[in-house]
Amino acid sequence: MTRCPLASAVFLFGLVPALAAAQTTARKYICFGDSITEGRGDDPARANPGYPPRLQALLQGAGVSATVLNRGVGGERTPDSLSRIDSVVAEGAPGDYFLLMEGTNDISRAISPETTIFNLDEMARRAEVKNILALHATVIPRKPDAKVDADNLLTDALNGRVRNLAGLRQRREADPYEVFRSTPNLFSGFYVVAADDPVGHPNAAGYDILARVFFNALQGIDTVPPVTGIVSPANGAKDVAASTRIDVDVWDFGTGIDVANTFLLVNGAVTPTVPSGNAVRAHLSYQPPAPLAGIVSVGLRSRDLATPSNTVDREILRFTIAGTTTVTLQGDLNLDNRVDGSDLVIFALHFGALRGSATYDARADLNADGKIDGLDLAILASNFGKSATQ
Amino acid sequence: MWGTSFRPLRGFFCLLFFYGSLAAAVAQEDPVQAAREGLVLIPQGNSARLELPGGQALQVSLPERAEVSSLAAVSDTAAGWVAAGSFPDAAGRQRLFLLTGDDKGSRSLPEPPEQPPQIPQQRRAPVLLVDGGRLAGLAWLEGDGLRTLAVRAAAWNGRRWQAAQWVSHPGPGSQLALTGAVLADGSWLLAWSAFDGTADEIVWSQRVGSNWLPVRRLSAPNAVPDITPALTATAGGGALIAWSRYDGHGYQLRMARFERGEWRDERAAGPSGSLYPAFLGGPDRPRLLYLEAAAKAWSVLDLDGTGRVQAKASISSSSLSRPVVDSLGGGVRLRWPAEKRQGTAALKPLEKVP
Repeated sequence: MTRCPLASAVFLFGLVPALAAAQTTARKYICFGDSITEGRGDDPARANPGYPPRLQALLQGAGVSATVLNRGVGGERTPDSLSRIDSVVAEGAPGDYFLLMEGTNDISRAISPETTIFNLDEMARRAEVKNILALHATVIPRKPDAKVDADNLLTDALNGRVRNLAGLRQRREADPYEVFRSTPNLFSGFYVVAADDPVGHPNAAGYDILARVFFNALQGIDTVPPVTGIVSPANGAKDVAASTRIDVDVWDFGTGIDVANTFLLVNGAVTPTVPSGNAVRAHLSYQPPAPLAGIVSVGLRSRDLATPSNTVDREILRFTIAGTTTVTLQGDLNLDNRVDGSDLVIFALHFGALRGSATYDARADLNADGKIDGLDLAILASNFGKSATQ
Repeated sequence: MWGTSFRPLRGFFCLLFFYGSLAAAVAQEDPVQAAREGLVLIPQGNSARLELPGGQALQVSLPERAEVSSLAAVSDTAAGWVAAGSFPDAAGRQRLFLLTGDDKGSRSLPEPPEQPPQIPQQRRAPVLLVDGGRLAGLAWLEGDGLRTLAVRAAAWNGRRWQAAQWVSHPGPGSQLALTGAVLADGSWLLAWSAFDGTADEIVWSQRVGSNWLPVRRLSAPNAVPDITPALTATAGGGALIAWSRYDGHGYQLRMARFERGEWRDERAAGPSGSLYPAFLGGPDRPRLLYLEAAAKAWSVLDLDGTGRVQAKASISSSSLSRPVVDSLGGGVRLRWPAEKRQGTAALKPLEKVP
């Protein structure tokens, strides 16, 4: 296997023109997307809401001669977008940037991730025809009470495909999803609290983060660890064959993956999987030596080549082997088939939360009354120490 | 071809006005409109405003975080209706629910029973199948993940559900956008989008007697997405389908006619950028609502039983949410209740193609 992270990093940054050129030449940055680009949920006192004006301030503050255009349309889905993409890219000139963050509304409109990716690719291609540099962005997490995909399984899968698209097409990528999902108190601190909001929108502080994510991606400031692309089995899959192979694509759009320090974990144990690929895209493929059983947790432990490095060490997917009889054990919040101190720790994080609040987690609301309180604790306590059979 | 026979409508006019503050333009939950004019369900959080054909309205309670996907008139009573949707239960499973009622209130109907040991995590997007004003069945998407959904259906005998049938097992990718209709001969017709490994395609199946025919593609294989189908039965015993296909520029509305077990006369039916079709109206005079994204307008086509366009009305709107359509003399009124805006336009006969 070839491991040459430096060469891979050089290759990665060779995909785009030198950033220094953008710092001295006046450029337009066309921000294209839905209400999250438009700036819904931002401070109403702001004349120009959303991340684009913030991005312009950041770029100009860094000495970049930048004009950032907000071309977000609230409620838009990617099939709609194709009807206006040509007029939008016509505003740009060769060397300008096209920042594309869209797709979350497709999930609610019965448009498949496959079609969403097709549409995003087509939009980026039309920008590239005009020698405008396309940058794909992942979509931000849905709030926990979203009516569709509240657990973000589909959003997670879509974002893996967005990264895959960006990587395969050698386009730039910004990763709001990864940054947001690792932000503490995300929904309470950085999202608007609105009962009629079907997906979740950032508040002013959230748009500050979003602008910074795009700024960092454009300026080559690497704050994002290696991220997953397409994974198999899918996160949340059921009835998976016990002999299944586990495949995980890992991408890094910054300094590159430290391949030698990238590991796949199954049920918490490091596997002997040796990554293939390079610093931009590594592939982890693991064939378990014995049939798997029950609920399988797959983790990724990796870091990038930045100094200091950005690290990831977390569960990236979980699936259930066919034939697993899952006994619902109330209080097993981390789904490891037993109720123990780990569950109590998770429970404590949400104690006192009410449904609709950012700290509310339906898993911990064991009697489903909208409050995570002593009654739920009593249920957990009644099962403490018990294990589910499989 | 429809794509080349569309001509600008002389005398076309439209009027859009607001009767309240502009709501934030986000993807609102669309109102659900039944084929019978005047029967509309407008989601409002964990309840809904149900507008009845007589002009009355009810406030209907819904399960928390419910999504209503289908609404139909039934003839149990003069103002009878039935609605179906899905909701997440306390264990996090997405389950089906059905409500029925009249102008005085509502009551729940049971959901089609699950068949242990297979308890799906997801049951979504139910489609009501109403035959002669009577609830005859339900079709829905079912599976453990949103990308591994099967298509299932069950018959309702007025008191209980028959065993659910498999219409389509999970495929190589997403199966979404389920739509259905009961034809004049009592058979059930379903269509949906299914990823075939290359792109989404429209596929369909028909239940004849008590058996579902093998799932088939509607069109010849192609490498571009075909999305968001809508079906309606027609008076001649057939059906019409409308959907959108990527045409190299945007998505273009297409239509086809179902007759004697086959789809015929497939054609483009709108300009590039025509999306999200929905059928309204009865079998004699179906009406098709869709978005013209490039023109930023919602359009209504009045059709005959074979799908030929008789008249068209368009209303400019920046809203991407589906409106409610009301007949208004020789025209239509489109309403966006969540955004408190509406507009009216005349239905103009389409010019004849030389």
